[in-house]
Amino acid sequence: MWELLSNAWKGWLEYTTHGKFAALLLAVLLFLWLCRREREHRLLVFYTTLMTILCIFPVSAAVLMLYQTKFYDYQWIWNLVPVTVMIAFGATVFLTEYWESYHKKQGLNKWAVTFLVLAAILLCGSVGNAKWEEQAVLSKSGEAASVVEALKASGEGEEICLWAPHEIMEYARAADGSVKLLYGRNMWDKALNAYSYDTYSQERVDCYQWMEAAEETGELASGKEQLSGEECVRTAMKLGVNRLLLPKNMQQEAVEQLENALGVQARELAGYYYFVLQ
Amino acid sequence: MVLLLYISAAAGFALLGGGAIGILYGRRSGKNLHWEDSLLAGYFMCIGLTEAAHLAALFLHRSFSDCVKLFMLLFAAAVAVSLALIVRQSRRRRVMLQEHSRGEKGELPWTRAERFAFLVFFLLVLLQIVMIAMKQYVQLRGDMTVETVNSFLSTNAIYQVNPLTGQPYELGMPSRLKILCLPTLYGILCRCFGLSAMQVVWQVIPVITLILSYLAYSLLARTLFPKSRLKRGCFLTVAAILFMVGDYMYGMDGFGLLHGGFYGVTIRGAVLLPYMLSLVLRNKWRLAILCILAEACIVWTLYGLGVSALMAVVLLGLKLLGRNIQKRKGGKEEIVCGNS
Repeated sequence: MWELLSNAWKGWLEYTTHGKFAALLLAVLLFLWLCRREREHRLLVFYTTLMTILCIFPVSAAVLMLYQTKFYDYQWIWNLVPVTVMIAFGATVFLTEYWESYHKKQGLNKWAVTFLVLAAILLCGSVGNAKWEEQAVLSKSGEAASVVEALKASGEGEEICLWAPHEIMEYARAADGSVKLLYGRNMWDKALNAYSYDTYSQERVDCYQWMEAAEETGELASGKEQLSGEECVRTAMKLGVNRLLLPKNMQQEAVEQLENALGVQARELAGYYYFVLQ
Repeated sequence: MVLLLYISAAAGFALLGGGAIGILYGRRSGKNLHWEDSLLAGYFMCIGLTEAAHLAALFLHRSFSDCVKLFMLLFAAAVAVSLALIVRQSRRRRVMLQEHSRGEKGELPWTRAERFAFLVFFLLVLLQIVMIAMKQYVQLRGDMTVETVNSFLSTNAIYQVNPLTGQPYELGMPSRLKILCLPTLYGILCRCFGLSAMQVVWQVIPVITLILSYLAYSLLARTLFPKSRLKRGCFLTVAAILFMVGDYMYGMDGFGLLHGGFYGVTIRGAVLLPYMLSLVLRNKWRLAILCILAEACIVWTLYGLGVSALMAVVLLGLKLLGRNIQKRKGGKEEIVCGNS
């Protein structure tokens, strides 16, 4: 329970760090409650106020988090609060009432107030503080799709089980569902583990760690106490891998060493070193 | 093909929605319901039909092709029933439409400010559609929809392999996730229109979600400002701006609409919940039940009790409370009046 409360509190802090829509919502609610005599759509205003309070206070937020199932993070309980609806409603009421209360002579005031409201909305939003730049993935699926297409063409209908650097593995299954992978995106995107009870064996984890290290160093003897490059490739072959792509920055010496050990000639494919394993 | 998909979707939603509203509201179907309601109800019907086909294929261990065939069959049957209902009610609808249009003619002509507000709104929507179609950023963290659709299409089976690796499951996946139908719906669209999973999931569906979201907001605007066209235009324009600048964080409405319109949670947050709000404010509880069911089909909920259900219950509670308080006040006033 303590963990849930702590998550609720941390969630609120994070929710209000990146953008200020919560502050804008509170300002709208204050405006509707305190600055106006008319009480139209009381139900909507009452509901939004109640749910906002419940989402802010950690105890009620924790209960709501339990209700929405542990599959979802704190920010999803804010779905219960019609944030966009309420801000748009408040801004509309404020602007249109202001416009109606001024005469034509004071047209400049109308525009000034309209632009101020717009500026407030922009400043509370993503202008210069977009978290999605860190979170959203720049879609590099085009490169992966062309590599997968080339792999398929070289395979002549053969079933492909691929082991490749991170950026190819990330999009390979999105580009072509018939390509099998040594490990999937859930190896580095832990949130995806919620979709399956399956976990990876230590051998697959070792292979992933070796490939990650090889991408950085360009050497075969990458990784710390894990398997060496050659051992990793042999393990991968044992697990069914028949196509291997080594990173673009792999050292020529390391590639030749692996070619000699496996008895297979590497080819160049979109800058990667491509091995057909038997 | 993409254009054909959009046209088919619009026609399908309109037909199915017309039928659904006819069944749910019968003779009263013209009262306080608009064309946006038909399209949204049609979308929910589509989700329901997909869920039925998906569950049948999943539990009877049938192939994905069988699932597609079953969906087509159900869709055709539903369209036939809807058409029959629409034709039956057409005369009454025509009369109501005539009355409605007569009422509209009685309204004031469009002012410059109203035209300006709606022009800005439509330009913003167009800009958002272009942004989605260009697909610069797609939120993929924590999501495997495209891989799931691809695994259905390539194995011709539903959840037989782990979508992330293509290897057979060892321990399987949570059954509550298995019964969600969105990947099946997207797979069906890929099969029927010959499009790739990436195209359908990352480009086509987000545009549909965006348009459905604006339909829901348009209904809210009608409900909140029934008499002022300017206020409706202003409300929609501010909502469109909020979507664009509110994309700063995963979980925000704008973020979902612009970077992940294919998620169940985005559809819930941007379409189902605003629509639910407008339905409750208009006292359209039967359509609200459709909303709750749609959420259970597309999002992981607490045994089917999702955000829509909680929203409906809280709103109903507040409504009843308000009525009680008003009654008491009325009673007191009567007493006061009687005494005086």
